[in-house]
This record gives sequence, C-alpha cells and structure tokens, in this order.
Amino acid sequence: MIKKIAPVVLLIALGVGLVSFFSNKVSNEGSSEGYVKVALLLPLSGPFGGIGEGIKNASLMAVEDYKLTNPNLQVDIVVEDDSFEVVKGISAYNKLTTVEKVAGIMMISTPVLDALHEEMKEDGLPIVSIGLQSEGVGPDNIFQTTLAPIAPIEFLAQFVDGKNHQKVAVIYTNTLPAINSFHDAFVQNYSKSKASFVVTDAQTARNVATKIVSENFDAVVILQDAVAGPLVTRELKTLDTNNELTYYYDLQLATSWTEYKKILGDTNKLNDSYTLSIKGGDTSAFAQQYEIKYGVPPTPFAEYGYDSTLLLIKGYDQDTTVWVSNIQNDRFVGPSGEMAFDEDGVRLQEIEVIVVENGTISQ
Amino acid sequence: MVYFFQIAIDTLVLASVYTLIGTGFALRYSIAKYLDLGYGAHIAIGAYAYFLFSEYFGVVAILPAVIFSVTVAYASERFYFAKLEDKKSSPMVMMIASLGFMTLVQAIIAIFFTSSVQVLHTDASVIKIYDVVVTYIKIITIAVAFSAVILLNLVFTKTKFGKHLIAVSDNKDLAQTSGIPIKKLSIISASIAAGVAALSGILYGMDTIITPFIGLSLLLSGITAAILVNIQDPKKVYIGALILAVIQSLVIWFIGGMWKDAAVFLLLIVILLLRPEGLLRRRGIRQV
Repeated sequence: MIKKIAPVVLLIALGVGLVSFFSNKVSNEGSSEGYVKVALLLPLSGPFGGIGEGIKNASLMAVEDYKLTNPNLQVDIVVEDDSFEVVKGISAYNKLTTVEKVAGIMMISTPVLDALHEEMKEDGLPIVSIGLQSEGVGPDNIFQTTLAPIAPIEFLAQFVDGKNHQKVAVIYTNTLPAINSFHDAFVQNYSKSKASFVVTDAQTARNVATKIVSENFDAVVILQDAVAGPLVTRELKTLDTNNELTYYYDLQLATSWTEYKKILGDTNKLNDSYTLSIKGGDTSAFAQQYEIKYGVPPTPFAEYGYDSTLLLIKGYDQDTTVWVSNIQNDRFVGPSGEMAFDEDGVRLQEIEVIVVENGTISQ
Repeated sequence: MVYFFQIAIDTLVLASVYTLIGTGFALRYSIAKYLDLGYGAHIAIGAYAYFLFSEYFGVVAILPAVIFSVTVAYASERFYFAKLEDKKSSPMVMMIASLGFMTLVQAIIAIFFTSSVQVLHTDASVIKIYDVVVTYIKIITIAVAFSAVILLNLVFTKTKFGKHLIAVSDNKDLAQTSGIPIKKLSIISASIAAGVAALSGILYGMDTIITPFIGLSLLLSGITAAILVNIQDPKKVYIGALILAVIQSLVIWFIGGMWKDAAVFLLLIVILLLRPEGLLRRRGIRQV
C-alpha cells in the first residue's frame, strides 16, 4: 500500500514545492528596491524581424550603458517576439504581464499596440513604443518615441506642392489602415493635379507602373509597405528608362531599406529620389559602438530602440505613477535626437526632406 | 499602342503562371477528387528549394528544385494521403488534411528562411521590342507554359497514363473495377502536379518575389482558372487562365487595383451559379 501511495505523495510534494518556489520568485520580482524587470516586445520574426533584432541589440546596449553609471539599479530584460502580428502580440503581452510580471514594456508593433491600448491603459504599466499609436492616443501611460504619423505626410505634400509638377501619381495600398490614412492626408494637403493608384501585389505593381508611364505623369509619391513599395519602384524603374519621373517617399523608404535593397538589387537606382527624414541626433558614435559590439551596422530604428529603452529605465520608480510622470517630463538628447513629448505622450521631432545619394540615405 | 502590348505581355506572363498552376491542380483533382490544397505547398517548396540550391548551382538549380518538390510530393502521397485514402476518409477530411500539410510546409519554410521576402537569382536584364520592355524570364515563363500545355496534352491523349487518367476522371469507381491502378495513378499524378507547381513557383519567383505564403494566393488563382473552364479537364485550363489574367489586367487598368480580386471572385460566383460544370464542359456528360 505504502509502495503505491509513496510516488503519489512524492509527486504532490514536488508539485507544492515547485509552486511555492515559483510563486515566491514571482512575488519578489519587480517589487524589491533597486530592481526592475522590463520587457522588449518586438517583431523578431516575419517581415520586420530584421528591424526587431536591431532594436533588441540596441536596447541591450542601452541597458549596459545605463548600468555603467547606475550600478545600484539591477535591470532584468525579458524579450518576447510578436512578429508584428496582433494574435501573437496579445499572447506575448499576456505572458509578460501575468507570468513574467514585468514592470514596463518597450515595443514597436503598431497593430499590437492598437489592439491592446485599452488593456495597457487599465494595467497602467509604462509602455514606450517606437511604433505609431493610431488609436486611443491621449495623456496616459503609453508613450510614442516617434512623431505623430500624419504630420510628416502633410509636410511631404507641401514639399511636393512646391515643386510644380504637372501631374503627380500617388501610389498606396488600401489594405493597411495606416497607409490609407497617409494617402488621405497627402491628397488633402496636395493642391495640384494628382491621381491615386492602389498597389497590393506584384501584378498590380506592374500594371499600375505601365499606366503611370503611359499617361505621362512626371512624379510619383510612394506611400507603401515594405513589399509593395520596392515592387512598384522596381517596375517603374524598369519602364521609366529615360528617368522622366521624380520619386518621393515617406519614412517607409528608410524603415524598409533592407527590402528595397533586396528587391531592387542596387540602391543606386534610388538616387535623386526624395524621402522624408527625421532630424535626428548624432548617430555616428552610436553606429560605431553598435558595429563594434555586433559586427554589423545598426538597422533602421536601432537608435530609437536605444533611446526608448533608456527612457524607460531612466525614469524608473517603484511608484508606477511617478515612473510614468518621469517619462513624460524627461528631456535628453540621444542618438535618435532630442527626447521630448507633447501632452499626449507623442514625441516632438523636426522633419525634413532629403535626397538619396550614392545609394544611401544620409542627412 | 506600345503600352497595350506592354500590358498584353504582362498579362500573358501571368496567364502562363496560372496555366501551370491550374493544370497541375486539375490533374491532381481529376484523380484525387478532392480539393488538394496541399498542392499549393509545392509552389513554395519549389521556389525555396531553388532559392537554396541556386546559391551553389546558379540557374541550373531549377532541376534539383523540381526533383526535390516531386520527392516531397511522392513521400507525402505515399505515406500520408494514401494512408488516409485507405481509411476511406471523406473528401472533406482529405481537404482539411491537405490544408494542414500546406500550413505545416509554410511554417517550416518560415522557420528556416524567415517570412521576409526573398528574391531568386535570375538574369534581370531587359530587352526592348519596339519600346515594349521585356525581361528574359517573362519570355521563358511564356515558353515554358506553352510547352507544358502541349506536352501535357500529348500525355493525356496519346499515352496509357492519359487514358487511365480520363477514365478515372469520368468515373473513379468504374475505373477501379476495370483494373486501373488508382493508387499508383494517384502517386504519379501527385508527383507530376508537384513538379509543375514547383516550376511555376520558381518562374513566378524569378519574375517577382517569394514569401513562404506564395502558394496560397497563387493556388487560389490556379483553382479559379481551372473551375472557370472545367476542373476535371487539365487540357483546357490555359483558357481559364487567360480569361482570368485578362480580367485582372482590365480591372486594374480601368477600375483600380483594389477591385482586382473582387472582380475575379464575382466572375467565379456567376460561373458557379450559371454553369457549375465550367464554361467548357458539355452538360450532357455531367456526372451525377
């Protein structure tokens, strides 16, 4: 009898022991003095996996740099992949808040942020997002370390307006709400002759490119995602053999640079194109440090990862309300430029239009 | 006028890809008698196998890539789908099983190659024919589809395999009673279809880009092309493919890219309502 019961008792004892061990561990984390556990919720797989990986590297670099001058605050980093997908993002967020019990989160994925913003507000954890928040923006615990999405597009529309083109083609996709809103903002702010074209895949890219070249447009404004943008550019460049078109891009050109390079083969094809750019800080020291550490140049937005993580841990306070207030009021200049927020927690930044030269985007 | 020919060439290229995919799918359907969505996986398998092998072998990698896809099709048919058939699984179960196979393949490809777009090695240089810009790969795609249609038509009409195929397509039970080796035929048709799918994936990828999910979107177009004419007749899928590509191009040109898929599926709904047997199937031999 004892032989039969003994394994069961042992198993129960082991289970109770494990549960108490882990519950003690969880209850201690995030609450002790001088210790903070924060999460990086990033797309480490999928189309934005490369950007996510670069941001993760830069964030870990920021933590190391911070520890050099603040050795008394022990910072623990948990990394979760959201693949830039809502379902995966929600699951990862729930794991971070309920299992990992992190005290703050740095993230980038707009769809995930938009899906979770209400829950995030309720939970009250400081959220620092590099990605745009397109829904529920307000004075709360969510901070956006890139500037408001529409302002740059309005700026671009005014810039193109000043160029006196006869006929401008605006290329966008209607399957992504953010890009739809960029298109609306552009056409509302551009006063001259224009026509809009939807490109969603390789076939539409090809047909639209032929139509644009055949109808003698003299400029194209490309407000696209990481795949359709390079595809339509490739088709236009193939047909526009006399380089009669002037090309304008929003910030996607910089963020999707890897895809443009892959699909176009040679980024010199983008020379003389105009693109929006954010007036940033001095990234040279950061880029050098990053390259020494990881052996490759920083990916787009890596400097934002550095600054966003730094912002999150710099303002740490055991009282979450104070922590959120610290982030709102913090002012510092990092590799991505000056960090300052408006009353809704959206970053204030200057924008400019630059020209692609020698196959690179440089300010 | 130049741009009319430009659009015509591009439409022909697209129709060629749809022809290859639709023909392979119809071939598979005529034996299997269920919507084998797993067939779409071979489009991606072929494209990614070429992506991998071309690093070492260049353009010649087409051959090992197609062979690899055929091998996967043979193995999956022999050890997975045939086992399900032996258990007398219903067409619905078979379809779900094939969807599972495609999802599994997509996930494995995404794990090994990431979900990011990839570009296949090819000769990207362009030639101008009276101001119409054409790439070599476009010409090759049209030529391959044209040859495949002729070759498959010869196989279907002149060989024992083709005659068996038509017999099974008309009445599977009767064909089985007549001693036609259905299982063997099924494995052969699945392998040929996978080879055609792999080839279409490679050609499409060389012309555009590839992602792990390339199979599903192209498969939907291929199925539509086959249903438009007669899903049981692989010989005539090229007509459905041409209709489909022309409609898509016209819609993009005159209405807008956002209506492309809506127009195609509206046409499919109309065809299914008015002529469910397909545009080219005689009502007199419609199966009961």
